Amino acid sequence: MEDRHVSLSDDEVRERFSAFHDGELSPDEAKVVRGRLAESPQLAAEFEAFERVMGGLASLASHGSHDGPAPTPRTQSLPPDPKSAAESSAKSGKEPGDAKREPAATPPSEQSGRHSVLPEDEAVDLLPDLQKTIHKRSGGKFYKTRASRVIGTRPIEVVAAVTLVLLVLVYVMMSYVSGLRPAEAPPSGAVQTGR
Amino acid sequence: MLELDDSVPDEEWVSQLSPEEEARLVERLKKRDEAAFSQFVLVYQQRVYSLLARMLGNREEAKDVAQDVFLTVFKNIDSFRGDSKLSTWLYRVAVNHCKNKIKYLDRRNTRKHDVIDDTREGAVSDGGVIGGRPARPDEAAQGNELEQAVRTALASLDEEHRQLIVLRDLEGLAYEEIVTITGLPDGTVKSRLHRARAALKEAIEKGVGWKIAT
Repeated sequence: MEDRHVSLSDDEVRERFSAFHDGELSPDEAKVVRGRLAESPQLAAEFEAFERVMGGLASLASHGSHDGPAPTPRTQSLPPDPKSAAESSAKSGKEPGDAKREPAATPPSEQSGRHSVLPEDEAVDLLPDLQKTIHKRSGGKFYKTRASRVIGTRPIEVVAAVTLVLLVLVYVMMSYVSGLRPAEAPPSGAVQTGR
Repeated sequence: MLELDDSVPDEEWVSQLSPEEEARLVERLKKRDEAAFSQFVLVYQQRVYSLLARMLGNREEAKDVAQDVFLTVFKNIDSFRGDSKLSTWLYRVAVNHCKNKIKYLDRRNTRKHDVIDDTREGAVSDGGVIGGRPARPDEAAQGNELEQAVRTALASLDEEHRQLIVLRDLEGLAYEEIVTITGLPDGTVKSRLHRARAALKEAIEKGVGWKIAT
């Protein structure tokens, strides 16, 4: 392999801090930058300062990702398309969804959950307003039934069914409680009158 | 009926979609499948909001723009040709909306830039852990101070610089994705990102009144 010697001035090294940090320099250039940082305390200090800034950014970016799942108020998975799920499971011999759980071949910098998430109190739920807006703007074509919307993490039908079951239970319990009361004895006078 | 699967993580699920799976999702979105769109929103709303909040520096504006972004996706999903990942296209839509909003607010001179404070107790580089050990209180305080300084400095950068830092360093996007989102050539993205980071460092030093040194 050709050992090409690259020489860089201090300013040229500074210009490369960013690319060096990102691992974007060619191996030759990276070697030269590393060498210059080793021999110049001034450049090394400047690069360290640069790295501290990058550390501050990484710290901002990692908020949320270290503390569990994103603070989203609902279950977040796309509904399986029955046709495609059947096709893919037939093809791969796996259950639908298995592929989703396999580790991704992402570069190391992207495996550390470097997406930004605001804290829990900043969780947004845009869906209800979006559904209403789409319903309105489409002249009622989309999201036309309330059943097509979701409440919390459950479809509205489930909420309605649970409510109905609860009402029936309350009714049954009330009937049972009233059935336990001892029947009042008829007044003795009335019995005699009847005879 | 909407089927929900509690066992599958959200963003991870989508980021790991194979090209075929993503194509099927896009197909369903193009058919205006309400359930698919609802779940698409649920998966991406936090990321889109977070990106916009950091770029606009204002939570309320970010929420409004995020709504517009998803409305645009619902309306214009047919224009997605599959040249890039769906998430990249979504980011591009978000960034374009964001630029328009900034122009609009600048024209009206009504732009407010809150410094979004998402500092939480114990939040220091690497989640309160330094070199594999818990951070000492002084280190944690120093880390929080730096984080706050970074946040303030980021808010003071010009739009172009902030956009690149948010996309690359906060959202963790790859250079190719940033090229697609911004429409800038690869070399330009790299050189501008370098200038943006240098400007951020300078703004931090100016803002906190000390040289960043160890």
